[in-house]
Amino acid sequence: MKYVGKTDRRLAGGQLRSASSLLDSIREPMLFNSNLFIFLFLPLALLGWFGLNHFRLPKGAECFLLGMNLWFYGCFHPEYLLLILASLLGNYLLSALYRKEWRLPFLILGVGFNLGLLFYFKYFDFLMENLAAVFSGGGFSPAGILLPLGISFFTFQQLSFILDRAAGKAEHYPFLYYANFITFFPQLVAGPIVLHEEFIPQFKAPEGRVFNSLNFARGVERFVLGLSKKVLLADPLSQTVAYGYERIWYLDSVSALVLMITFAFQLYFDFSGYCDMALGIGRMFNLTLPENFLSPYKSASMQELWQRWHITLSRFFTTYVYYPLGGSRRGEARVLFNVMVVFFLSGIWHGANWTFVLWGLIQGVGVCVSGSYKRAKERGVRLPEIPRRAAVLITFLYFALSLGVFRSDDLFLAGHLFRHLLTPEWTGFLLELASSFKLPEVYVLARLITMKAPDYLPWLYAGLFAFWMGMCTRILIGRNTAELTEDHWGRKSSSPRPVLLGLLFFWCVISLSRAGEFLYFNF
Amino acid sequence: MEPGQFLKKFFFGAFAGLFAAALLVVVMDPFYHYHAPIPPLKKVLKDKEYQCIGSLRNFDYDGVLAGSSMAENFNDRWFEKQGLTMIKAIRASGTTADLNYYLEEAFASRQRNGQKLKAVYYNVDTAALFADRETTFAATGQPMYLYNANPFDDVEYLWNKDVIFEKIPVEVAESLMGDYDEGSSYNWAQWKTFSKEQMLKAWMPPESVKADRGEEADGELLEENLRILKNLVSAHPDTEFVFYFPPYSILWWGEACYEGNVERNLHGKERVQEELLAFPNVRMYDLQWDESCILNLDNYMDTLHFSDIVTREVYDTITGDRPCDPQGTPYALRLEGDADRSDGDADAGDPSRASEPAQSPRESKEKMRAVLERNLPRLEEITGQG
Repeated sequence: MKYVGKTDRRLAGGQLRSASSLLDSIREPMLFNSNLFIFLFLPLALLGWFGLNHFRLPKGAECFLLGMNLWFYGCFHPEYLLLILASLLGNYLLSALYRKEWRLPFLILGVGFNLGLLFYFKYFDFLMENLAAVFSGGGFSPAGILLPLGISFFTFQQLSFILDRAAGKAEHYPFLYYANFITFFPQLVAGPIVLHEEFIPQFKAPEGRVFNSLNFARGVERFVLGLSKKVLLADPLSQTVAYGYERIWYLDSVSALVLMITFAFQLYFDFSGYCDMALGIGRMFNLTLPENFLSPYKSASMQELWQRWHITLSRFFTTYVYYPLGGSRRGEARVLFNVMVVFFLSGIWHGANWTFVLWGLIQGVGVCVSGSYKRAKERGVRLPEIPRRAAVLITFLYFALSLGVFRSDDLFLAGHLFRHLLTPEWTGFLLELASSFKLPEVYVLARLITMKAPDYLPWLYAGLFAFWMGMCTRILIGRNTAELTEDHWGRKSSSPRPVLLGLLFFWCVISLSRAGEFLYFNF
Repeated sequence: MEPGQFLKKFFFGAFAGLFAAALLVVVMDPFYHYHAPIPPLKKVLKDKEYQCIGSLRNFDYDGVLAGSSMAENFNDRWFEKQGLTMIKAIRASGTTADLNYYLEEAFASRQRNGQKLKAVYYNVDTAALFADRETTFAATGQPMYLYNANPFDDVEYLWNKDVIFEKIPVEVAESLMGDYDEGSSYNWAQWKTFSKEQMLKAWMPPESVKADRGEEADGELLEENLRILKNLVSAHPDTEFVFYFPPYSILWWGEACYEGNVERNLHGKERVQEELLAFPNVRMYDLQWDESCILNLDNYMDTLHFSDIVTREVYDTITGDRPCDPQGTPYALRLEGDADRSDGDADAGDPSRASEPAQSPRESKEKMRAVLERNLPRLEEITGQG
């Protein structure tokens, strides 16, 4: 039965469809910042590891830890346990079969296997999308492949092992050592990228198998500080960042700048906080994992920044790409080329999107400029001296603005963001952006203001946001977590520091109900 | 600092805070997960996803109003006239499986307390008749720690910043400082605007109309949901079930037409009505054909959510104070052959209700079909968007 007389229908107004989140395709993982991990998984892992070692069952302990590592990873997506096991077993088998005279085929197979897996799961759909765009379809279509969490990290770890094996710098380890090295849960899904020579000697050392209260205490402190950075600093900022990026069209130049700086803060606290937690957990296990962040926003040049930001990734590319290309030994032009190659690859490593490629190239340009400046000065060329504080500010702003590209869903949106940044205008959106920053701790005050003076409510949140950014800035220019956690051990003290840390931990636990982004889980 | 000293002080600080937080939440219990509010605290019900299940388990009541957002704006105190202490069981989607879960929890808690559930007023959303037969709580991100029997995941509630800094202060403020009406549980209408202009903002006719899918579309889902309802009714013969079909606007039916679901909906309603009316403890009302309501777009904020005035009219209808529309057509339903019965001895519940005028599900369906044939071709005239 037809009820309608006319067939032409007009949409009653357009609807803006929001870009899908990068996290839409990924299931809820077992996060460090969760009650399940803090109160069940971690105590169980520690108890089992040290307990079994205490009862002189080292192989049992290694099997137990491997089981815990796989349980941790399996919470993300059980099917991808097969992937990590296949990757692990494939590389281990190659290592077992390696002979010096088979170096070249070993390298081809090893590098091909690892990069092939990485390419398929991370870049295949991106390639298909671009081919489809170039050839107007042409039979190319994405396969809808789900990105396995941490694939970039555990692939690079194994790649470094394979390359070191071929170079004669790595032996064929016992399976349980190797398997635990690759799957060790603190660094499994978001780094740091640990080298075999950093991990395995510690792992097999007998003294490391005995519970050490000093290491445990240091690990707890590092973990809690990392948890605080993630949960108390990064997560609240994420709501403002998300708010701003969902409304790019409404930004003016000032709010665009503030948005990019806010994201720079969020990203640092999120990623470095996670790494602090990883290092803290490692320390609880008597394992010292490599530092990944050492106050990068105090850097006076982009070259210095990349020696302090995601240090283990820089280390990987320097060791396995920059040096084999010739490093700094073949003249200025070759240095610049090598640097651009490294950062092009680094950009791609971060994700299958042209925004990451562009971001990587921007980093490369920055490092090239600062590197050339430094080398020219060393050669005696007279160049203007930039005061360190100004250099730090310039470096930070350059990096923060480049992160505007990193955070954008696509180049189109990144272009809009920069258009707003570079077009001097003031619409007052800054107040709206700042007032999107909300904390439950001020809810009562907000309700009182709503009742008595509702027009001032946005100013409450904006003031809170300004305070938060000021506090974050103070933290960034102060001592970093590594420095804070190293210097106060060994003597009796009446300092209230541990009680305050305990209360900080309590504050983090009651904040766990607020779900935030784990940004580096996409890599 | 020595590590042993450090760890002792750290754990002292941590667990002191966690213990204090847990104690506060257990005592104040804004989600009523453990107990009803301790006087002078009131039953402040504003978050149905969090509070509904706890209130059903821990409050004292003998009547339940079950439904979707369509049922939230009733005032529980209205039902005191029927001698009932009413509570709401609200699920945003109103799916049959979810509401059935809530109602079974209500029955179980009454049994534990040695009490009886005298009446269930049930808002039947047409879409819910074709919804998934499985409950959707977990899939829609509900706080399952409040639903399941696992005591360990209660930490999500006990150590929750939103609960401590928002929900508890709201509970205290509404109980002690304001004039919060406990009957207005989950009410949202007070913040909404009901007008034709507002309603048309939500009206987006598509560019093309799908062919009607026929009355057998989604038949399997219909039968599954009907089975759930029949099991619910038959399992509790001493409880009066009052089912009602709320008056969606004519534009809701317009959307159904565009999606090709009109015949499916008409058939589904008739089927459910006929099957459930066979039970002696069931009464039923259909308000969906009432042109005096559904054509007046000022009654709505979107294609289906109606104002407080209409809510009150629905209440009057399902409690017997408004038996017919202005033209004298009855809202009550009875099976064919029972439509003229006046002896009333087959009804559980108020015997005086047996004499109220009624029509059969078939008559109601034909009435609805006539309304649609008259009005759907002139939607542009009704909306003024021609």
